[in-house]
Amino acid sequence: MFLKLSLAYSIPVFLAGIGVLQGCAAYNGLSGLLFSPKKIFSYALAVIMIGLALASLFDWNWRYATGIIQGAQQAEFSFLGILLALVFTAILASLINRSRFHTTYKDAEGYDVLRDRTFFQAIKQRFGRRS
Amino acid sequence: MDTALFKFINGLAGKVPFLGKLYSGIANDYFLPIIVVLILVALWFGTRDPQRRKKNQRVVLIALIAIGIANALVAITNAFYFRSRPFTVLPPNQVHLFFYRPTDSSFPSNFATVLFAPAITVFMTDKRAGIILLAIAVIGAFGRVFIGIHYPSDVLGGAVYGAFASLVAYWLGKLFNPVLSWLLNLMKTFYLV
Repeated sequence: MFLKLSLAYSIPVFLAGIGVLQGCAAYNGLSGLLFSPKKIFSYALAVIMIGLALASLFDWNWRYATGIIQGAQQAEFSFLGILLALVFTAILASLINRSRFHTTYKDAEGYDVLRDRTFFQAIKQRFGRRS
Repeated sequence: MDTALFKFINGLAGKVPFLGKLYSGIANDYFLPIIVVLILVALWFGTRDPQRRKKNQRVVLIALIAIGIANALVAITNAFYFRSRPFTVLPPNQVHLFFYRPTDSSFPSNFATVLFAPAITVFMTDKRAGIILLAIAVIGAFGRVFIGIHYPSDVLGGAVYGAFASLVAYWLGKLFNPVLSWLLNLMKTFYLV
């Protein structure tokens, strides 16, 4: 039962996390994190994923009348869900956009570098500088 | 007075059962807290202006600390004080319960504490996002009384606990500013900031 409840909570958090990241990346111009070059697709995906996730959490008590996740575990699952969403987004967007960007990178720091390169390309570039 | 106010607010739910059912979804343990988490993520990744982003990311970290402190304050209080839930004290015909029967202490409302702590923290830096989070906290706190699981003083207490946790977190944030800066710089290395 606990595993079922954990997944019932973590999966919507994960999906909503992906949705928020797509929405933020589109709004912020972080093309390296987007699943599609079309911003409208990213916004639509964000709305759908956040909507589905929240709908699933909204009717929780009707589906699991006595199913409770304690506060501390809830915090852990939330953190894990968002972290996995971030990792998933970085990996999938890097794979999708691997041939989209050219190597004429602008100077930037932090996640602003993801405006013109993927996460993998950025990591590779940093690693290359050090070696 | 507290009981009278509870009966009035909860009585409204009894008059319009549809609203009670709706609020049992809105004010359940997961729906609003996750919206708060998503807003914090949006503050982290969705701020365009670099200066404002820096402030927002710092305040998100402080908000997380505030949530931790708020939880600790509630746990400490619950270790020494227990208040029965309204549905266990009042006659069944005077309570319209739209929720499962929580067994932990009614005071302070953990739910309200956890919603108010990040809301007040963010409000001190970003008024727009702070007002949205405060609105969510107020809706959630009202909802817990509306669906019959808290007295008004429980959620009011939760708001005070949240405000206190927020102030302590702010103070800790200033005290350990170099640690926060180090953490943010470390995250910048991995393009997370």
